[in-house]
Amino acid sequence: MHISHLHVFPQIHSPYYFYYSLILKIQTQETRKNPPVRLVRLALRHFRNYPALSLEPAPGFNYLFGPNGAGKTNLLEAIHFLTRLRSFRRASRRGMIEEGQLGMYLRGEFRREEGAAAGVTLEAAVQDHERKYRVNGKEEGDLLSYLDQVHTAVFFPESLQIVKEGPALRRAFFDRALAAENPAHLAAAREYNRLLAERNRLLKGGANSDILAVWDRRFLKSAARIVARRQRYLGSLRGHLALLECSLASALGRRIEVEYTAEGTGLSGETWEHLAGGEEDPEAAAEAVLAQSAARAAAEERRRGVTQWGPHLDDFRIRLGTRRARDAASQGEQRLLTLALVMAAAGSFRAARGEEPIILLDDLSSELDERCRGDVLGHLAATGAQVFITSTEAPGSRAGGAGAGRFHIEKGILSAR
Amino acid sequence: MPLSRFPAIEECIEAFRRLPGVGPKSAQRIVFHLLTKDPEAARRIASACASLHERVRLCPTCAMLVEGEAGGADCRVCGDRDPSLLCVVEEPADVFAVERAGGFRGRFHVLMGVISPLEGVEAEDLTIRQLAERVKAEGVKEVILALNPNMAGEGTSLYLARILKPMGVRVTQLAHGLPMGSHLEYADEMTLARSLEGRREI
Repeated sequence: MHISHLHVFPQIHSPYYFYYSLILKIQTQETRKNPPVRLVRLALRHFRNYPALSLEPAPGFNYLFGPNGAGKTNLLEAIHFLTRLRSFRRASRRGMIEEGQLGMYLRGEFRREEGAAAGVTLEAAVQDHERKYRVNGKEEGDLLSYLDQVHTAVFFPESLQIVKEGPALRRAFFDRALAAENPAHLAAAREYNRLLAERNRLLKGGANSDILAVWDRRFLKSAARIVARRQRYLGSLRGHLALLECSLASALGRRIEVEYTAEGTGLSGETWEHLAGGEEDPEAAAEAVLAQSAARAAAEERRRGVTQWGPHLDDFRIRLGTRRARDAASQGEQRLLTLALVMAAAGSFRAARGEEPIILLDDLSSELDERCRGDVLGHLAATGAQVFITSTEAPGSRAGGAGAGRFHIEKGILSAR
Repeated sequence: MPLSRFPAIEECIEAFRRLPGVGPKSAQRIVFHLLTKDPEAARRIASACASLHERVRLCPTCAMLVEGEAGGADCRVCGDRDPSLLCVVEEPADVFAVERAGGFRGRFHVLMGVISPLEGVEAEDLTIRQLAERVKAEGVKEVILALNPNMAGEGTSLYLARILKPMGVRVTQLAHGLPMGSHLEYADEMTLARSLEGRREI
């Protein structure tokens, strides 16, 4: 059902709000019915250190354990690439092909209901510059439609850059999570980027004032759409963060706050949210606020020939209690915080789309003490998601419940334990 | 044997390859066809192409294509049609499209492109100045913007509305909506959103 795409529209005043609320009802009903999506069979050829591999994961928790360099993370990467068509590491497509080989092939069978045929088979083949992506055996030319089949959420050691590093990584994280829930966000972002480039060109070239006025207006509207979407998404995310805080409270102790800060508005996050949240139509509210920053920046922009404000410069400020997570939180706290964000995004996705994404956790044990780990895994077990966890140590005999999958990996050879 | 040993053939392939919708393989196929199967066609194409620009010109008023001696207000499309309605399109081919639909009895104006800052196309590169002059001179009451429903077309339409409205004409835009004979289920969300916005009472 493609109904979830209609997420673009939920504005109370708008004429199609009625349809939207109807759809919302349908969705929430589906939410209760839909069990999580599960990978039931994975086959790899010439992927990283695996000349050939076949894996039949358990529906719940799956532990991949073995010594360093055995290829545990490569398996997570394979699942991620098969579903998201990119690595979560900074790796090119070519870099994932087994050394000395020309191409790689990945195939995954996913099931939505136990025993039933409702499922999907994804195949990704890469050879030289040719790429073939198939859904249920049929080549899918539309990447967006391929990417909308199965969703995965990933947490790996470098994930905590979301908290630690500059705003670009945060924007990428939140925009990606938002686009997974609502693929229309991608089109809106593409439109925004083009308008930004066009506007910068016009500012540089000293275009005639009528053209610039028209482009200013279009840019403002497009910026407001992105900002309003991000704000609305944060609203949903906060709810899921609050839920998580209950299960992670023992480890975190303080509240996680995420607030949106818009470059050039000169407003603190709270004032901004108060202004933007008070209105019934978030897009119009965002437009009103952004129009002020646009007016303030106008002279400077004419002089420097570059846009000085907009969602491409904005930040998502993350705080733990009252302190900025980036500066004040310990490495362990930052890690837990990032994990909380990833899981909140997964929760928000579930609420919007009625399906739990597949969860990939790389090297969870390092830097997270046992109690935190217990909290996190307890939360995941409650969601019923399919989870893949890598670690160097073998999991305890009761870890992940009775049906958990245990796979020992050494030098690219996998054995079920 | 490499093709570079046949400069005449290579040059011809290269010439065809530059045409819209023709890739290197099609170009090669066309050239070998002309060479071995249909030498007469090569001469026909050459002479038709050579005289194309002598026989067809752009109307200085509306920028539509004109053949023969006709020109100006006498260009075939605008002949004796309702001067109060003016339909603005991007390319001459769009005039034929609107004509095929029938029902439009006004005149046309061809912009010869759309504003696109990233490709360096600005208002001055189009026939916008001529359009403004026509609106003043021909007693136009309504300008219908029939540009392609994409970002460049949208931007150009907004710009035209901005400069034409102060001249006291009504500026309208073609409706955005669902294609006839299609299914609602398969419509993309952008189109559907626009259709809902542009809905009307029946």
